[in-house]
Amino acid sequence: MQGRVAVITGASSGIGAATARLLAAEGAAVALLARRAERLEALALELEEYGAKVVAIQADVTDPAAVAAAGEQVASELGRVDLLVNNAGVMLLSPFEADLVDEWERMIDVNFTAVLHTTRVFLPALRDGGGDVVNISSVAGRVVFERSAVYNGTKHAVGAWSEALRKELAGTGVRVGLIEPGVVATELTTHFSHDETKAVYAERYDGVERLEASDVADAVLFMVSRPPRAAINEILLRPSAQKP
Amino acid sequence: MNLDLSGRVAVITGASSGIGAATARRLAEHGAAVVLLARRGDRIQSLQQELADAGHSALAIEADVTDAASLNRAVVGARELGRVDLLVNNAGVMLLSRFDEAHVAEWKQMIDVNVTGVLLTTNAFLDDLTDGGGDIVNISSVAGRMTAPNTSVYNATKWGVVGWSDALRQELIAKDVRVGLIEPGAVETELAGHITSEVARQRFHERFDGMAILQAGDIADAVLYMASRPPHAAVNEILVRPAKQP
Repeated sequence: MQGRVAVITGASSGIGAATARLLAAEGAAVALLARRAERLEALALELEEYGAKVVAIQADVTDPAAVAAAGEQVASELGRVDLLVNNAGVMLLSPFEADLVDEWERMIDVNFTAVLHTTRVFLPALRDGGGDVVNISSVAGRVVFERSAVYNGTKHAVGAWSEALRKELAGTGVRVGLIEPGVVATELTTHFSHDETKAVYAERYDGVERLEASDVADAVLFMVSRPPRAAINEILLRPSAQKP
Repeated sequence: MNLDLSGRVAVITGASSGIGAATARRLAEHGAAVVLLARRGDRIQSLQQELADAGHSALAIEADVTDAASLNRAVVGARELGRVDLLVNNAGVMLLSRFDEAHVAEWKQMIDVNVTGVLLTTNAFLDDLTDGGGDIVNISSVAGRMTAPNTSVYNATKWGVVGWSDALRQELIAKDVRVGLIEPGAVETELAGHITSEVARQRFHERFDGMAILQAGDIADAVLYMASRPPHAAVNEILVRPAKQP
């Protein structure tokens, strides 16, 4: 990863932070995007102590103007982009008939629309010299669950969009890959507002040792460190004990 | 990222060439003892010698994955290196043709090797694998995910592997055996050289001639990555194509 510049969204915690740590440890310069500035600054300081080049950018990926400004800042401070990790996402599970319309819209905005805008901003820089777009989707992009209708919808959308983009960009030097993790020990599951679903979810994965964020970071590293001829299009990974 | 396989014993089918041979080399380089299975005894014996000369533990056993008796002999032979805890079901054939060409013998051969052979091999080594846990890595194909003309029966065999593999994955969770699928696109191996249908061979060449396609070592890297994950993490599926293959 020496000499490569990686942009990571949702970098303040979980998979995003773990990916930033791993790519920086492997020699990449990293641009960290997230809303929570304090967390970003703390992570940037930690990585700089190890000698990594880091740019922390407070940005809400659902705000196209903020993402565009982040693109300009990355261009001016790091000069290039070789790798975009679309990681920011939310999982607000509930039965469809609970009518949590605000949460549906939030998931569509963060999990799908923001991925389009972020990719649009960084794609010209990626095409200029080649690179990788890594989209962090979910098992929910492959397997459908109760109480997950809209989350499933957003992750299926990411999967379909990602695959079409991969085909459009095949041969341009830009590889597009999808990573679909099962249950990971992150904040993702703590944001449900629907209490009954919280309990059902906890019961569904009771006794399952969850993936660590670093397991997903390893998948990102494996994907992006392939030689130019080889494109890892998709990695599906679950806790060893997770069935569906 | 830790890619160490020290102490593991891996069985690789179709180890005489291509992805199988590359995987044997890669796993051995990372510390695994490797058992090489194939029909072509001379080929796997020379690979065994090559690996032994490099200081690795390797054993060549002539076996046909469509012949249960030869697999049972391989199970007994493999135990010389220890309990098998990693099985790479790699042996496969791709005899593409238009369906209406009615290459019935080739259909049967693909079903025998690509599906029945995988079931028989897994069945043979299952006692070893479940006696303490391990990994089964099934080498399928992009053809297990999408269809194309001239590929109907090959598609069917790879679809079969995908369905069986994911059901087995769920069944073997209780036995600490992880079951994963690797689905490569076009790889530089002997595979396409065996196509007898003129129309299918021509289309294959039109699609891939001049393209920088995958090397067998690229798939070996995926097997290594899959098998070396910590016990709580299972890489269920890796889809890999040449970067230029749409």
